[in-house]
Amino acid sequence: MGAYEMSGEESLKDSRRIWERFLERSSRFWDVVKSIERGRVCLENDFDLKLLTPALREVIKAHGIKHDPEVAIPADDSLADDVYEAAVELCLKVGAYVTDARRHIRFEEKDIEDALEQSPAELTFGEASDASVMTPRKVEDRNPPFCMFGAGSPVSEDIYLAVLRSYAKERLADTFSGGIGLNSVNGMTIRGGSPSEISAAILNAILTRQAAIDVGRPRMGIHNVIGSAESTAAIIAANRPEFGIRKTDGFLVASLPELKTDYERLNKVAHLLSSGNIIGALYGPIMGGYSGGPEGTAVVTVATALQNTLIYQPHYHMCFPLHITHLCNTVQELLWVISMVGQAISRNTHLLMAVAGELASGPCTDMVLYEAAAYAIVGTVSGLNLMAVEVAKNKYLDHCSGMEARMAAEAGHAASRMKREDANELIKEILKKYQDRIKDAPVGKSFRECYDLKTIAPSSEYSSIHNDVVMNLKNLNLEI
Amino acid sequence: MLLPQVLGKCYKRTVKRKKLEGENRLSSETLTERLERFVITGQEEAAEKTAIEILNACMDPLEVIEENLFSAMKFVGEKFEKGEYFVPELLCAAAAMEAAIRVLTAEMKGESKEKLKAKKIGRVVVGTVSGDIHDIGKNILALLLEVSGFDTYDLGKDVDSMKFIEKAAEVQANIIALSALMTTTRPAQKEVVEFLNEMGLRGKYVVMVGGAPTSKEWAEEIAADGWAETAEQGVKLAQTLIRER
Repeated sequence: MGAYEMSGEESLKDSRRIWERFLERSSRFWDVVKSIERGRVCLENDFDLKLLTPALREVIKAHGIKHDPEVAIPADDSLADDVYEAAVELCLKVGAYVTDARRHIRFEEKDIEDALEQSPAELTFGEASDASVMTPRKVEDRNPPFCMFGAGSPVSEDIYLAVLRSYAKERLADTFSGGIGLNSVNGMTIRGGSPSEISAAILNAILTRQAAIDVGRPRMGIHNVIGSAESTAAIIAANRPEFGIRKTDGFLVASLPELKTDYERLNKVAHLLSSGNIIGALYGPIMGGYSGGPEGTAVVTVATALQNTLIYQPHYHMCFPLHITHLCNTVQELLWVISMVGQAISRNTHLLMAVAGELASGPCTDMVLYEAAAYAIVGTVSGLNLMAVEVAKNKYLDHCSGMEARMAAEAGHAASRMKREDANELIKEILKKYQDRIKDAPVGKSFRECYDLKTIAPSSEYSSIHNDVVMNLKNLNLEI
Repeated sequence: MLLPQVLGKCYKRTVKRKKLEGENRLSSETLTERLERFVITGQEEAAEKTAIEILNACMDPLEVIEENLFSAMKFVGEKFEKGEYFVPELLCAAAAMEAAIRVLTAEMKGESKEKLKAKKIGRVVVGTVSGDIHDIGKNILALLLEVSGFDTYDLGKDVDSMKFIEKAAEVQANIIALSALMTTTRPAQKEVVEFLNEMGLRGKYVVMVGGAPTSKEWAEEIAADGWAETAEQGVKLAQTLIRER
């Protein structure tokens, strides 16, 4: 009997029970929200320069963390553990800054321990024969990475479904994402905070599920239904079963750099805790920004993982440390950061973590495939799963395709049989193929130019480039 | 001819300066070198105190600002471009420089103030557009513009489109610089250009855009005057656009 059919007193008991069950499921989150009111009032600039910056310098110095420009994948377990310990200390010293509350909140060590213990050690996306299971990985894990396919480039509405299909149909895709940016709806530009954003989110959800159906994987998991930049209102609007969205699909909640949050992000979490969808915590510490150099960026990324576990109660994490000017994470320093983050997290926690590749170059170039391979090899050997991949700095309309994700997944699967030292030597050779071109990375071709829009297959040109790169990687002893 | 009282005062200040220099310097560091060091290392309080000592030593504040403070910030800016310094170092150095400038300009005569003002290349109104709360890139741009000789008015983040135009009118700006970090907020850059067109003000201001989801093609699409991928490129673009006006 529903609550409204009961007598007044009975319905009151029932609704109280429903409410208490909801609070119990999400009690840690509400404790954090309550703690904001007691947080210390603090200016954002003071948090950045007087709290975070000196604390970060202190922990890096205390733990002797040093980036080696010759070694992208250190085989030094103690260094990885130092990065982890430094991150725990940073998280305890700095806590989190809630921007619109103008308050700074702190955590206790027990909070971190409890949050880590309660984090899921296994996660199922999708349903029935299309289900896939994400598990934590270890350094040099022989199990292949869990591969989450997607991109972040803006895409024209007339080919949006085709682009989504190009990801969903790839055999190595364990999940795929609707987070690719729909550029317009019925010819209307999508503007954040306006009704166009709501309609775009709804259409996004519908088309993402349609893409899965079209490629014969109707119940495939969608790890991120709409772009993480979208508002809470957009998530709520899109998150409906009649649009094909299920509890085994997810939404990403992005942090503010560095170690900050706000009520908009917390609102998303509150909704998702209620709806029961999968929550992904997304963060991209910026090397060159408040994180400083590679050492600071590695520590801040791990600290953010701990902080987000506490605040957002995510089922899984997705990090994308980023270079401040190159807007990619395939240069040597960022590959080192990815490796350190992966090793630190996988050696010390059971968090489910993926790293998103951020590539400077665009589709239908050899460079984009080398970048995809490089980040995937580093992530895989270092104990991470993969989110493959964002290309051409997410700047150029229609510049993304399933082929780049395929390359990353192929390289990741091959690298799961490698040791760190061997992978490091391989990375040195792959870096020679593209690193000096990073500043002027080629934009490449649009989806229309390098894919057949009917068969959703790469063009012969792109297939040929892919074959050449695969051959070159095989010659470098990658068993791809 | 200066009055004996003033001469006597300056003489006493000179003696005091030499004594202070003897007490607080690194090897043979002069006062101005010490000021540069404090700016480069981002020590705001120390820079402020040193600026006071410089005034007490009767040094020309305009000369110190132009020759020492700006060159110290230029050094920091170059280190940032090379990836040796990062945003915190940049911001702390800027805070130290501003603290010193506040002290030095307070004692400046009107004529010197006018000279300093006249040396400004242009006036820029900068901010992150409506609905967007990301500001690292914008902060760096504002800082680098300031040390490159622009008068910069930073409106912060999530700035209403009309506010850019109102501020530009208020300060008689030459340039409006718009930053956006999300595809869903970059339409606000287009909105500013549209507002300027409809208000008949488009020809009055140079509009430059930047931010992760923007590109040269986007700038052309919205009829902005220029696009920069990085803050450093933004400064060069601003200098070029001002020269071309």
